[in-house]
Amino acid sequence: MRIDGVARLGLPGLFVLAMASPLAGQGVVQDLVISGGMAGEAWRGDFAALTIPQVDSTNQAVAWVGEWSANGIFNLTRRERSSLQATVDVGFRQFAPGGFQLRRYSPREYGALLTTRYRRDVADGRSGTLVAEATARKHGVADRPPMPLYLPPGYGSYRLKAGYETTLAGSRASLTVTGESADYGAPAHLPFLDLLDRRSVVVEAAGTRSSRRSPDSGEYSKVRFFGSYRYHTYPRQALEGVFRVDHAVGLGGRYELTAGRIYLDVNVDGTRNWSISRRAEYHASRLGVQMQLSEVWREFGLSVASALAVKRYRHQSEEYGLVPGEEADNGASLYAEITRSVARNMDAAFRLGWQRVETSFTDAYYTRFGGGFFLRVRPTR
Amino acid sequence: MRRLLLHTAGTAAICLLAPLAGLRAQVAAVSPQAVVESRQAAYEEAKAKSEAARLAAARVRDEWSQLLEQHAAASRANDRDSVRELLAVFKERSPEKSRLEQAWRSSQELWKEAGQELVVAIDDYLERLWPTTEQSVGAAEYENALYNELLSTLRRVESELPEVPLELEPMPEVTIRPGDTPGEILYKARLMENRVRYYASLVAELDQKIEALAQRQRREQNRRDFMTSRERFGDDVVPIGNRRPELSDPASEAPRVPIEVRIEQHRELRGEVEMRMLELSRKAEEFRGRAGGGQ
Repeated sequence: MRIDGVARLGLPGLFVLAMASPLAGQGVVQDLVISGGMAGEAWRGDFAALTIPQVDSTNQAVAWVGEWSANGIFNLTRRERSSLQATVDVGFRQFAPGGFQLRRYSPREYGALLTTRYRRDVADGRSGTLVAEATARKHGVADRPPMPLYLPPGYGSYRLKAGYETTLAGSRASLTVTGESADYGAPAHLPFLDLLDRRSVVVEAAGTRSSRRSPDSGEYSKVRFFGSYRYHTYPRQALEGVFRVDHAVGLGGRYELTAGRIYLDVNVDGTRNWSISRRAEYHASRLGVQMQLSEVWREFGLSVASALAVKRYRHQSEEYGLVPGEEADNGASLYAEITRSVARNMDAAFRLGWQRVETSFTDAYYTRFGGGFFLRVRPTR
Repeated sequence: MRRLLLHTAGTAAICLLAPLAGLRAQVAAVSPQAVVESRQAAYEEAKAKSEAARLAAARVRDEWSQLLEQHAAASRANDRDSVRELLAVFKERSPEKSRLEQAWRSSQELWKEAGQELVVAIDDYLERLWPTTEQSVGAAEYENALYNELLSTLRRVESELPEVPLELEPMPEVTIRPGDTPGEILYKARLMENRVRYYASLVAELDQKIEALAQRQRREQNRRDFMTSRERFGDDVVPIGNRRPELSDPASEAPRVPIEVRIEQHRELRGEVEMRMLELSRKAEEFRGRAGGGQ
């Protein structure tokens, strides 16, 4: 499974090489950032995760967290009417938790992402723009601790996307088809993890209206409406003797504004999910708000992001609707970060984060609260 | 428990949305049709002035090229009288040439500013013409026609606007020819010193542009860092089931020329201008030395 995962992770890499080899030497590092930091976090709650077999008697845990990461954006080719871009992101986190009764845990978490994106204008951009994208994401956890210190389980996901965008009645209209496979690669002692394996196809249509405030400063406002159809299969989840298949439709809108020192992004969407099992049928909605204020005081910048997600089942049931722990019912998060440049190619950031997740059927919940200090170095700045 | 959750998230959302109300109020106080008409008139006027200035500068530049050719021919033929006469003409016409070229650059800047203001006004008007369901068929047709007309004006203006060239004109080769008098050599030295002063102002202008672009780049990098750091380990995911494949933004979201590349282009140009400044300063000093250090 691991070898298979690594091989799949390499596919977009081969795609990059194949596309880039005829134009070797023309690559441009658009951005490269190496980051390191320390954080202190606290968890509370009685939430039970089906995919975490260990149970500890505590409802509270704390941890010191050390983190390293690197992120780069590379313009492999850039011509007047086409471009090929790769994004690479890797990160590692080491936890030193306290508060558990059974033993001392030493969780380690890593994440890796590779995305390649090809864009081509059709008929000099008068007809529209084609976009093709391949993404591989890998997330791994070692020595996963009991709840309430919730760490998402390890998985690999692979995604292919193709889209077309054109101008219709003064707006940008786009149609995108995405296929994704997520594999949780469960070890023998943790077969429940395979319940989360998923294959998805998503068709999304969107319309965007932009209004530029000042072309040179990059100020603009943008309104986007989108609708989607999503088809999900869960090949390891048998509900009433049949593998689970979900169909969902979604509608949403997004407002984005860049004006002066302010950036604002408000995102709302709703989903209606049908399944072969009445237990997994629900309505869900999300609200996301992100805001950034640069030079809020002297050279300090402030970024805030919040999200709220609510789910309601269509049919009352005594049984669990989905997989507890990975598929909760309601959730909210709030993150705030203060940044300041401390050298020509180095920024310092102090971040506070809060998250709460809960279920409707048992009133179980967990909260996570923490703060950390990070340094980000850009060698190419 | 759920009430607490909703209350907390709702308060956070209201706090975040509060600045939006103020911003909308700033943006709303406009009369779109009148603004478009007045800005279009200003744009056409600025465009006409810039075109006239371009023609005037081109005419002088052509004459200058002819004079340079005559000067080269006279030098080759060792016709000292003609060379002297031509240098006198250069000296006489140089201020006019500089003035006309400066006037052309200034008029281009004004044209560009007027164009950008018109683009913003049209964008705003188009925004307000978003079709409504309650209007009559005739009104809808009128608005559609107006919409298309505005859109075509917008595209025309965007295609017409002058691009500020990110390359330097070839540097003329200035040499001391056999038979040049000290006065002529000194004149050439002054010409080069004038060019050095122009380059110095260009460096200052480029520094301003680089600084503005760098500030914008830093804002975008901070935003990307904040987002990536939460996405990397799934901290941003609120696990309510059926995770959607992440739908990235449409193609138009990504800029055609990344800001990093634009900064690099401006830096390269600045480096080239500085090199020319050094070279011309050194040469002007050498010419002054050869001319006997006159003022």
